[in-house]
Amino acid sequence: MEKPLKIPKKGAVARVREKYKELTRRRPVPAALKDALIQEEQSRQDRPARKRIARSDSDLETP
Amino acid sequence: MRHPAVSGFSALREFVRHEDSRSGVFADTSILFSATYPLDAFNGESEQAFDLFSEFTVPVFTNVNVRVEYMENHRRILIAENLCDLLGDLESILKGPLPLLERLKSHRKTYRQKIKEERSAKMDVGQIKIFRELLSEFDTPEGSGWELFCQGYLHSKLMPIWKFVTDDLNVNFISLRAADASPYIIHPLEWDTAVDLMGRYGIASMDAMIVNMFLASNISALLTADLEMANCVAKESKGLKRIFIPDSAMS
Repeated sequence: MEKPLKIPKKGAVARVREKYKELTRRRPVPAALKDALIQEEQSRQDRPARKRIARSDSDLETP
Repeated sequence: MRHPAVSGFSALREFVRHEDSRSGVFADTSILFSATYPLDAFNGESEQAFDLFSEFTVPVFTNVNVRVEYMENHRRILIAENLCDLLGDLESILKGPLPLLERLKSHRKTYRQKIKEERSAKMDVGQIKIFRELLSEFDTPEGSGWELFCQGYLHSKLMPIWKFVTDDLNVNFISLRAADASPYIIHPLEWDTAVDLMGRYGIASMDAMIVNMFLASNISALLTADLEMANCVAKESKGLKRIFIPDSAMS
């Protein structure tokens, strides 16, 4: 048997607008992702700085 | 160029008073998306249309092809928004020159510009892939960075999105699996007919399936913000169907 047809409710789009706002409210970054990113940043800082290769005479002059 | 049989939403006021409207209207992806995404250019016009349907008890229909496109549109918008949220969360924590941070900053700039210019903020799949790869570089016991991003930001927002259509807008879903028995489909749905539409109008396969189903139904009107689809239906229906697009999409 067919279900009775539904009819849009008055003000439905306006209510969805409010619900969408609430739905997309900012949530905090997942802890595991935050930790992984912090670790990555830390490991980059711990890496020794790349040695600069002299490309011209001016690079060899002492300041 | 608009086909003369295509009317603006302002003509819905006359249509809903007509007997034809009792068989309902079919809403395509662009309309359901505009009614559920507050920043869409046609949100206000869709709101007025749905309020009219409520007042004059006009049922609204849709189908699985529209649902697929609708979910994809929301996915691409939500990923764009959530990447901005991710950056907002990370900015106070990370200071280093991570490639991910630089990419996120560039994305947020583009996103804000699009919103400011009232353009679609939907991300293209190529851009999404870049962020998937960048975040997947971070591996944790709980999953890759991309999975954590999706689970932490996207999942809970995407899950209720279709309910806006079925529970809030109260749109009726025509299941194609039961099309043979559906009282709304009065002609058999043939794949060849959809391909024929693709070939003659150059429209996308999903659009062709939507047009094909609408033409095979006893639903009297189509709502779309896609002028190409509107013109295609106007030509194919030979005056037997009404086609409405938002007035602001008429020019």
